[in-house]
Amino acid sequence: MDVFLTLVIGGIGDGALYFLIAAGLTLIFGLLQVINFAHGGLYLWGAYMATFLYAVTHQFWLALIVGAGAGAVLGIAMERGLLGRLYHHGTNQILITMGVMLILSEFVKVPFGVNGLNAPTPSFLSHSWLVGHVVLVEYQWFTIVVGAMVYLVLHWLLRRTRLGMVIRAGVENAGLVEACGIPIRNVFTVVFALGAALAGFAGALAGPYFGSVTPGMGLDMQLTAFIIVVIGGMGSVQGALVGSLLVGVVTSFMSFYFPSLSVLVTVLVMAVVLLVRPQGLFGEARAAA
Amino acid sequence: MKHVLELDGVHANIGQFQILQGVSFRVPEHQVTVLMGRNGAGKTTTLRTIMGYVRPRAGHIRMNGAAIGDLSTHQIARRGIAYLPEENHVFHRLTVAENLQMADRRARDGHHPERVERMMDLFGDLRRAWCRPAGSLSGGQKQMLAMASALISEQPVLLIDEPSKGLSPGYVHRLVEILQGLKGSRTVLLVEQNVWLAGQVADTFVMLDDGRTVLSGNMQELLQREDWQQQFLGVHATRGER
Ligand SMILES: Nc1ncnc2c1ncn2[C@@H]1O[C@H](COP(=O)(O)OP(=O)(O)OP(=O)(O)O)[C@@H](O)[C@H]1O
Ligand SMILES: [Mg+2]
Repeated sequence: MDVFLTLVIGGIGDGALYFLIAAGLTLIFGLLQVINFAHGGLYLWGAYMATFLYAVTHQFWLALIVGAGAGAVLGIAMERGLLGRLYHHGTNQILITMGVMLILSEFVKVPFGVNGLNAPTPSFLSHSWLVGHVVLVEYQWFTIVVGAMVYLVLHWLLRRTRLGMVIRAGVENAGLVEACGIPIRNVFTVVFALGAALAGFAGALAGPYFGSVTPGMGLDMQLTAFIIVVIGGMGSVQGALVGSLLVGVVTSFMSFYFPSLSVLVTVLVMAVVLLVRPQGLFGEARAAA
Repeated sequence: MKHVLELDGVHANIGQFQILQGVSFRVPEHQVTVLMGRNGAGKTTTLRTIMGYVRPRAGHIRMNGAAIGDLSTHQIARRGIAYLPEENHVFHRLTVAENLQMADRRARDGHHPERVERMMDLFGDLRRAWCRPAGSLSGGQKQMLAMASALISEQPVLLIDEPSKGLSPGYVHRLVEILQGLKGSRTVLLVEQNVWLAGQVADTFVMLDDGRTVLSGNMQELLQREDWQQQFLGVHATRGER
């Protein structure tokens, strides 16, 4: 029972982190029809910038903001500089974003080296408590709370604001949004920047969560987030949440009992979901615009 | 007479296909002009080219004398053109209220300005469906919502693509009333294959065939020329078929 609880909590913690990346990935796909294979690279740079800044300044909150900012700046540069020209060119987008992913992963080694950096947890978040035989780790709970808050804010943004309404309308039929006199390209940039900022922010949280940052962490996260988005349904934030928790908890159990099968099982979950619901758990068949 | 829209030798491609190969006509102010032609003649593509979804490869498109062929769709909409597409003309996952807010550029969240009220009066069905997703409406109700969305911003020019398609006779009569009500205050370019309906509302007609304008003139004249109707619309293209 104690092992069970520990694994569930760990899985939810991982899931909260996954959600921050998957949410941006799914929003970007839903609106822009771009699968951003460089999303993990934004996460990676967010992680390094925040870790570096924290090492220098010991300002944790500032590090989080800088991580999110690094993601947003890179994201805007990417969207404006590269993707804007490539909308409606599916294969080119995949190649270009994958190329950007490799460049981001390699270039991080230039200033920061190939071996990664230590990412200490700030002292005010490094407590842990023993309840029965279950260890409660403060930073894990902090991550879960932050993930839940981000979900609520996104939900509010999408359901209660005019921008959110425009985004939902654009996910369904971008052409009709333009006919309403709304410059959809600017909305694309805003959503891309938002998703990129969330990825950078997730990176900043991830350093202390895993204890270190490494050049390979972006690619790992990219794969996991992609699987989550497919499971949850491309374009659905709710789907990203459920998919993240599912993958987080399943991986948590697998890596405890059958560590070598952990990735395989995630892919299997995806395959089963796709067989039963090809559009993913929360995805909807889209109208051709 | 003032002409609000002018197309002059417009050519347009979709992919590598040459779809429009010389479309020229003028749309007089505050009248209903109907764009006709058999299936695949290029009517929808003509409207999409005016709206900037398709770039003209050659020729000119002018609105009130100013070239709009290089503008993007949202800029063209802001110049004062409302577009009601043939398909997917409402946001299915948004509620009826949200659909109208999207279309009404000056609307603010929360309160319903008097323009929304006027639409509700015009389209009573919508008031009852206010909070429902548009996807749950019937085909006729969706068409009415799309019409309300096109009217709500009070744009001076309306491009409307086959609004009668699939409508029951009751809705077709509503549609005729609405279109007749627009005369004198709005400029309408209507795509319609139903000759009877076109005759009820249109002042002038433009005939497309194979991506070219082949005829244009007074609607009453077209109604009398059965030979034109047969040649360019086909015997079966009249009311009731399709
Ligand atoms: N996306 C596309 N790719 C290739 N060809 C297209 C595309 N869209 C339209 N066409 C072709 O362009 C031509 C004109 O199409 P358009 O939709 O403008 O005709 P239409 O007059 O509106 O016909 P309908 O009465 O069926 O609505 C048709 O031959 C059609 O097959
Ligand atoms: Mg058509």
